[in-house]
Amino acid sequence: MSLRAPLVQLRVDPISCQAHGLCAAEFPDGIELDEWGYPIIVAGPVGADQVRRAKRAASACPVLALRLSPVR
Amino acid sequence: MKATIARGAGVPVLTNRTELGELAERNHILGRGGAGFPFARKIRALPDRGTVVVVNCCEGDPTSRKDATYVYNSPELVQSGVELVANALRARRTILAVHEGTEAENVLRSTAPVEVEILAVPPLYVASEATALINYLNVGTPRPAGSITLPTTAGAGGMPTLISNVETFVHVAWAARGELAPPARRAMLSTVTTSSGQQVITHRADTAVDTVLQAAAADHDGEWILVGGITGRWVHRDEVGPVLAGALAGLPSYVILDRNTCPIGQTARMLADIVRVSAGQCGPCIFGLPAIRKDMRDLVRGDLRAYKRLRRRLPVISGRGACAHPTGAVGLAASALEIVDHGHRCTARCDTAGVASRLARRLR
Repeated sequence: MSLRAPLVQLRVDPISCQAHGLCAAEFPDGIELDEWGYPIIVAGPVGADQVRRAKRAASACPVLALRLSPVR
Repeated sequence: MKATIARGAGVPVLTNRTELGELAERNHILGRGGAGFPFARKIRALPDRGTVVVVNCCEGDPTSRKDATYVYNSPELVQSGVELVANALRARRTILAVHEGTEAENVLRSTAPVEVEILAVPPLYVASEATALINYLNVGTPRPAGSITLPTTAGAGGMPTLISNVETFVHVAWAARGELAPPARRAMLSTVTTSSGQQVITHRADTAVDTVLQAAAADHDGEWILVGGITGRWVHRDEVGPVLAGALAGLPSYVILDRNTCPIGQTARMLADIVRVSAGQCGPCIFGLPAIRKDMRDLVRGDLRAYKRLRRRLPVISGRGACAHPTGAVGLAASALEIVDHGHRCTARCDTAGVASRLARRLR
């Protein structure tokens, strides 16, 4: 039986988000910015090889609006 | 202090949460605030005791008057449903939320039992959204708080909270008496708005929309109907007429647009109000809604690029706010674009006909 890491996804709290854009700079494959600078999270769970980058993106946010959470 | 509501004579009792959940499931009770969420599922997410019950009587959508009608005409029925739910859940608090300064507030204050609290909510559109009501209860700020934590987990005062539309409680009252018909035959109230005014029609859910519209506004010959409230969608009268009223999702509200008013132009005007009432908390709402409002105005003047901007922007804005406000605005705007796509021949002389034919030429 193989051990598999749980699936995680990025979620942004749109109320806290202030469009600093550091998340997208850190993880461009997973986060795009709309024309007003606000993040659009690419749908679906984060690929296993991208999890570390996704975590860095979440830590990069100055207002902690981005979090990595288990897929419901 | 336990706030058990004194039981009126002859009212059936549900003794616990499980019975309430079963009643809701057997009777297919759905939330009546517009989203139609299965009530049984909400009940089952709550603990057996200690819930805060919030009855949403605010009815913020100006095209709907069904809730006010229940409150004015049937306050005992409302009370009966609220009692049943609050007692079954062993509620620690029961709160009727209503916009301050309204007749509904007066009626509720004079008819509610002493154990029930009345919450007078500021007259702001977004204040009646579920998380905004809870936010207002908790810290006095009537603004949506997002969906990271569900009210049923932690809401008013951090306690599990049941918040539902007042009509949902009416359905519980009917269900407990065995008077809630199967969904297709259920009694319902629809609000029909025309330039002459607003009427609430009582009818069965299996009544055709056309019959409802005829009953309210026999002499109105408008083609375009706004279905589902200010963040609903435009439907042509010929297409919505035969549909059964109970089969439509969303608020049971119809606005018959006057023949001399263009639905696209009306959408642009409505978007201005939609922008104004935004809580202004989230980027996609703060920036996106004014952008699509301007695009819609440009579209009315025949600007093809505005059409393209709308097509690009609408999917980007939808679903990215803390509440459903931008999503609803996008739905309304998208339905206006559908009218253009189908070759709108405007009786009010907008210039979108040019847009439709130019698009068709480009696609060929």
